[in-house]
Amino acid sequence: MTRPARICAAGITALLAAGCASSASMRLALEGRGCPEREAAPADGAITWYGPVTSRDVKSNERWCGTVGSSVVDTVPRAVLPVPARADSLAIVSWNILIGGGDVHVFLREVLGYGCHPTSPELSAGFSHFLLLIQEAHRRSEAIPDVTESFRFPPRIVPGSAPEGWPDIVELARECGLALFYVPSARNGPETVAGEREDKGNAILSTLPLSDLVAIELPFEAGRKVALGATIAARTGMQLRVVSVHLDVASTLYRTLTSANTSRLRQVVGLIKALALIETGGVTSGMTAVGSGPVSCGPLPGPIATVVAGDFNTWSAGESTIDQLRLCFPDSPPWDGKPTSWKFPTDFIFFRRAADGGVSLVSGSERRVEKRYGSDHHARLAWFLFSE
Amino acid sequence: MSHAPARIPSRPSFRLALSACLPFLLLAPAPAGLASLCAQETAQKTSGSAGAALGGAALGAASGAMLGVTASLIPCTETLSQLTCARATTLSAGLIGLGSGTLVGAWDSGRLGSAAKGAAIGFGAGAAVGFVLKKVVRQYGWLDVLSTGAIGMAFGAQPEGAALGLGAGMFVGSVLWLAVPSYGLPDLAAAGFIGMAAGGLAAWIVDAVEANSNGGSGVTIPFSIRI
Repeated sequence: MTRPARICAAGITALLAAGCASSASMRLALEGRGCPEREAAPADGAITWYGPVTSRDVKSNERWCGTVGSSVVDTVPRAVLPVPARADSLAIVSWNILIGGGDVHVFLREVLGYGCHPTSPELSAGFSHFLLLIQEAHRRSEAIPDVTESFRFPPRIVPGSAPEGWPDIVELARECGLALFYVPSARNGPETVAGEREDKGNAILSTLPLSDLVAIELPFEAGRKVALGATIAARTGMQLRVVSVHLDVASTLYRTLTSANTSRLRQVVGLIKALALIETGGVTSGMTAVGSGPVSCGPLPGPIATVVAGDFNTWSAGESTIDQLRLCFPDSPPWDGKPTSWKFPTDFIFFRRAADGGVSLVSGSERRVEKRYGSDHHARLAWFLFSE
Repeated sequence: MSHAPARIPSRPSFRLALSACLPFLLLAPAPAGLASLCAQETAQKTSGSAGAALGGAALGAASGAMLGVTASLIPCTETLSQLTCARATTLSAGLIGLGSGTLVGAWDSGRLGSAAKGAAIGFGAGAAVGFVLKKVVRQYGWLDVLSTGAIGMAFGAQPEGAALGLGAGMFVGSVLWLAVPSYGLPDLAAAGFIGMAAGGLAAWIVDAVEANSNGGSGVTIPFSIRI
């Protein structure tokens, strides 16, 4: 065999092998894999980590993880709500806030009747406890590592019209007296501004205490994405798990072509597998082929009612990513036909009840919030009821 | 709080696009593109019509498969069997290209030479675009440059057919986009890619028919190319 022929044969073999790979498998994350974020345990809450098994995913996530700061956890809200008029109900909002460009203060006041204060907020009559499932939250800190190695950082996003003071997610939570769970996924640019660097990721803000914190590193496509989960309990003892998710817009062209554009579907399958591990107490899921039909959701209904919401970056509401989530979250509200980011239906709230009922979605309550409050995304809001 | 009644909008557009894409098909695009380049070298070294047929088969398969995978990307995301759908589309389109290319090579090596020249130019142009994208898009690397080159190769092998198909697809997509509220931008893009694939594959078939009747039928088919 001539040299060019050998090179051709080797190239074809490598590309064919790459072209066949589209699978997802998840596991309870192991300790000590060189990710400072995980080694720095938060002071007041333990986070259980889940992540993909595939070597490529693990290596890429590790590299990105080493560029961000540690997680922030304040499981108990500092504010004492004056008169929670409807303590048996809960508003859940999913909102991509564009690196703090979305004005959370005004949003809370106008949409949820909540006037921010570190310890004594005002809650308008008729409003209830709430959870904000946030995507693209940012955090400034001098503790974020100053990475000197060659790393292609995502460019810094600076919102065009940020609210006064441009508070980060930690400042927001403390100004409003809310419980906070924040896990950075990536850096917001490589810059050091006034001695501080920025990272970004998902967050959960809550008027109720958070427990059972989980962080799920999704299969790696174009950038590291970490979905966050937490559990809240009503006075009745009923529990609800909430998960804040942000998927990639697109992978590389090469991966798009060789994986049949299954990037987001693979991330969602990873999420579903991790949730199944959480609910069953498992450690490692089996390898799951992605894109060859529906993926098993685990036991339905599960042991605990679950809301999964976020920015799925989908181009249409009929995308396989959404179809798969609807299969696994059969009690989800139907899409109302309204896009949330320009012309695209990117943001959704999915729900599944627990085997013993307990928490239910208020029929017809899910809606798009019509004002964007400075973000490039509309929020979505739904109401849930805890049974007595 | 507002309890607006929810409704489930109908989405016929993507189902339509999916149906339209199924006749085409794909398997592994980049491998096919590389196989084409390798086979072209082989063809140049092989004398006689058998070698040209082999080169035509490789070029046709690579071009068809790349057109198929490109056409499948958006419509196939509308099914949970996304990978199966895309592979089937790529494979079908690759087989159409394979058959047509083989016949073109066997019957008219000059015509095949034109297609190969166009493919080489297309690969270069595509790779150049990819190189620019690599500078701009953070996550893009050399494999993405190769990928844009492969798409350019598929287009360049049958430039007139692919361009006409792309234009027709975009036109139809634009009309539907303006006329049908549920027809979105992804549908419009899908229509363009499907048109490009359909035009490119049709041009391969027409080339094969023309090669068979070369100098005999006198039939003029608008998709044929002469470089």
